[in-house]
Amino acid sequence: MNLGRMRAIAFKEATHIRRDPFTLIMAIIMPVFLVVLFGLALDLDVKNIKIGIDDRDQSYSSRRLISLFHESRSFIIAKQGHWSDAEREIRDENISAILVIPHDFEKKIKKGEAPLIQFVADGSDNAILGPALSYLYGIQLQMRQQLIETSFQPKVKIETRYLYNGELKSSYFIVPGLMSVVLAIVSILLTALTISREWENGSMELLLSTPTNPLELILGKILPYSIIGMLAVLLVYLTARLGFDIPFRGNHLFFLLACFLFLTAYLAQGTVISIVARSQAVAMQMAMVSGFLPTMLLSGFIFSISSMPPFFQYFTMILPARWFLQIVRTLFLKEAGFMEIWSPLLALLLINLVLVNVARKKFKRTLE
Amino acid sequence: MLEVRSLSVYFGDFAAVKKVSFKVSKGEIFGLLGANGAGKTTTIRVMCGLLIPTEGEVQIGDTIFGKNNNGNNNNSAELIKSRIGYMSQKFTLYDDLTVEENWKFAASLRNMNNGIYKKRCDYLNQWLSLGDRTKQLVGKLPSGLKQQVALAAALFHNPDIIFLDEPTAGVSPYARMQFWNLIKILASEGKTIIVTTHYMDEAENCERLSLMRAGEIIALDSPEKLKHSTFPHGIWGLAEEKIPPCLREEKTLSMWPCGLNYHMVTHNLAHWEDLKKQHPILANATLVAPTLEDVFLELVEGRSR
Repeated sequence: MNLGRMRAIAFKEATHIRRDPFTLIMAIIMPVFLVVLFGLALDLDVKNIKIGIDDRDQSYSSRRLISLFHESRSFIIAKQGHWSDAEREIRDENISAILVIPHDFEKKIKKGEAPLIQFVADGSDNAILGPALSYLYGIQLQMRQQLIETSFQPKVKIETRYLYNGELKSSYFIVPGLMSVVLAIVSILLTALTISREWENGSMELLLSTPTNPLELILGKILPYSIIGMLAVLLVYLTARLGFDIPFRGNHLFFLLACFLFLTAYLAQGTVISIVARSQAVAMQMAMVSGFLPTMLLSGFIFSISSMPPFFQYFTMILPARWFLQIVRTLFLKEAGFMEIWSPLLALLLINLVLVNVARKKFKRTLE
Repeated sequence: MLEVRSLSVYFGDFAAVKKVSFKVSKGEIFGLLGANGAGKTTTIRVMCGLLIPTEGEVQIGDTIFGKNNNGNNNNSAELIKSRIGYMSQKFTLYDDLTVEENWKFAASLRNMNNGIYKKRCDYLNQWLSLGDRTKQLVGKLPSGLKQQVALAAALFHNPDIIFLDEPTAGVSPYARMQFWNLIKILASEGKTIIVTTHYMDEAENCERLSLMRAGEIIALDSPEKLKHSTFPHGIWGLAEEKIPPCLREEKTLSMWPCGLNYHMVTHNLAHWEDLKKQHPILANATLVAPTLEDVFLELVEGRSR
């Protein structure tokens, strides 16, 4: 080991870094930025879980119970009423659960019997369901202390029923979620490198010397990768269905349409990165920072979007994965039609149009 | 056919090209000669519509391309691109595609249909020495053949003007010779060729040469006229070992090594006679025919006094 040579290499490397502001930013500023960004956005305490209340007792005790949900700050009572079809209500009203208080709730308490309440929850979203159940058991304890004043103090029984995923199989949550994360990362990397590679090997000069316009180039780049991506979707779908036994209850045509829009959105994002970066190394780093981290952490796959600060809730709207995850969970686990997924489909379409337009505007027809 | 008028290109404060003007006629082989950084490639890139000039304009046929009528404001850059063929300094075809695949791609970018493509393929193949290697990956070809493939790719759409930026860099002498034969054939068919090169023997093939230094044109003429105008009294050659040290110090004499000899030039014959009296060894000097290399050294490398 020669210290002189090692020092020479270290000095040379330091000079490279000093003259490459992007590496310097990636090494120093980016970690701080990401920690602040995700630290603000991510909160393991899920708040504002939207629930509906079906109070069939309309008694003092039932109102006290409802106020316990109010006071918990974990739940938001989005709607109160009486519903014969809880599943439809959850699906249509975009709420996470319905609490059903039976008509004999107060009567049983007075008799010293353990009353039974029903908690019907959307079992397709684990980011909300897990914390919701733990908060529910906290409320159950409070009920015992505050509502039941007899010496016997029976515990309020909670009957939980999970829609779409009766057995709460974690693979039902994780596989569709992983599908969106994995496809997003692969797609963004595919195109993030493709135009920067043309810049690096000089072939962009050849393309620019022809009358080819930016839109032709961008769509020409995205098209073959979207076909490859759709083949990957098919394999991932078969793996999910056959390997993990995940049910599929929605419409396959809508699923294919959503996958196509989702893939093209990330391919377009990769193309924007590629156009801006002009070097494969920089494009790769930008793809990881702008693709992998937000998709993993802000799409609702791991952390609940409704618990994020308002700014980040709005920010997630520009993430294709947020909308795709919503569609995949709906189509895999619910018997949903176009009406249930039209808004996330529209969001994906708009993201596509915006990204392709940004790529077109950013693409310069000259070598400047 | 092509006219460049008061063309300037600035990159920040740096002037890569300064007030360059010239005209090129149909069927002419026009050379841009200069040292690295003289502005040859920048000038070619502007003519190809790849760079927007800071000042001045380029006219190809009826199409004018300049700062105020570039691709952002109208379609002039795209019109120019549809009429030209361009082969850049760096090899720009795809190594992982075969020769045919590269050509088909180049033809498709010009909206060429299969029938015309095949005709052009047959036509170009008669001049190329690729034989049956058109199904080989371009990355596996020797550099001379790669250059031929790149030239053919630039010619598929039968452009009126062909820009070649140092097309034979890194190619063997034989491959260079073959390449220049192709260029001459193209010119004989009425194609206008604009070429940059570092090789003086290649520059001799140009009908006119523009010598560039620091972004400016310092001389523009045919190779023969350039030689004559630069050295109206010829060049004197003398073996290097015969030159005394005191003569090397002579400030009124331009002198540079050429092979085993030194080439010397003075712009005043009377002065040469005076020098011969001071340094009798100069009587052994012989008059040699100037080459483009001499012109280059005298004008471009700044040996002129």
